Amino acid sequence: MAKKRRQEEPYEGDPLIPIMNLVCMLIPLLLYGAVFVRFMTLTVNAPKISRAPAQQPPDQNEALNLTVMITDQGFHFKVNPKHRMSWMSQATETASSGPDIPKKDDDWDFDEFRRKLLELKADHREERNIILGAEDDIQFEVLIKAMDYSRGPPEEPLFDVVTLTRGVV
Amino acid sequence: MDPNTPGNASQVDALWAAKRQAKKDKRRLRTTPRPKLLINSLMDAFTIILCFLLKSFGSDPVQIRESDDLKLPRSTAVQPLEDAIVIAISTKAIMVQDIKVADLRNGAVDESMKRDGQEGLLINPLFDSLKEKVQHLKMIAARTNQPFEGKALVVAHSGTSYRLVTEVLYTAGQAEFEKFKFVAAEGGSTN
Repeated sequence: MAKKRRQEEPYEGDPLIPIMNLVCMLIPLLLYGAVFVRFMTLTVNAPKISRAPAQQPPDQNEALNLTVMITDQGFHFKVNPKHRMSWMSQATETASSGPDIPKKDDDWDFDEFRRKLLELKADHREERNIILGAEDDIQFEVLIKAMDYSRGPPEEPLFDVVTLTRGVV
Repeated sequence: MDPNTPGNASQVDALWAAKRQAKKDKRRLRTTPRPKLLINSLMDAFTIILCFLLKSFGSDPVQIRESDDLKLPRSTAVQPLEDAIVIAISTKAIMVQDIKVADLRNGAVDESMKRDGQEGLLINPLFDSLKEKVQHLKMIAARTNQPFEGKALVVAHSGTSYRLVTEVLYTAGQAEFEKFKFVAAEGGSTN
């Protein structure tokens, strides 16, 4: 007797497969545009290019004229002589004096930098300007960190208007 | 066991019937429908990945990508990115809107590319490229009755020297850019 073969039903496929195809195409597309690190910006005023002191002659105004130079030795502060603090160097040239905040453990002492800025801010509540300069080989990340410390926390800003100056003055 | 004895015959019949039933069952099992592709769990995983990627899809006006040559410093800044001309300084080159304009050697621009030699600040190819962008932006500003703002985002590798940063800022300033913002990655600490 001839054996009747069971007729196989045609396989129609899963209805989810087109959606799967779409999802598979979307994933690389979204992976390309995905941002896993958020980027922020820091406003900076255009650098004052001249190597001469960047502000008005200090004795002709009452402003603080805070200038901080970052060197390989540490931080050097300069202000209007009328507002000079006892811990600040009296020298007019950065190169001729030691740093006001020397490096600690071969790194810039940012905690002390903040303390000094807080001290200055306490006496000059309205002042928001700071001029930052650095030696040519100081790295960008050190500058950004100095800007972060200068700006202070958003709820209690310190000196948040940053102007760069070329090199050290 | 003698199958001719009446008791044994019924036992044999029962065994025979059980065997037939087993065969039938086996045949019936063989005719169950072909299993379909089980993709439900895969679909679940894909849906979760899709939701995560949609959430992290960059909606920033400019696209910035970190690489080994362009590792951005970390900062506590909170200002988001805004639309502006992007000047990127990696370890190997200076780029304007992702187009390389000047090569760097040991983190510095070759003096032949500077207007005033080694001590000069103006980088000629960068200036030319930025000037071209400024003209284009001014034309757009004129057509849309908007003022030209001259905004530039400076995206620099964390190890870039201060000297090179000032050279780039100076050159951009000469090309009529006035407002600068440094770009840093979120996650710095001041504690």
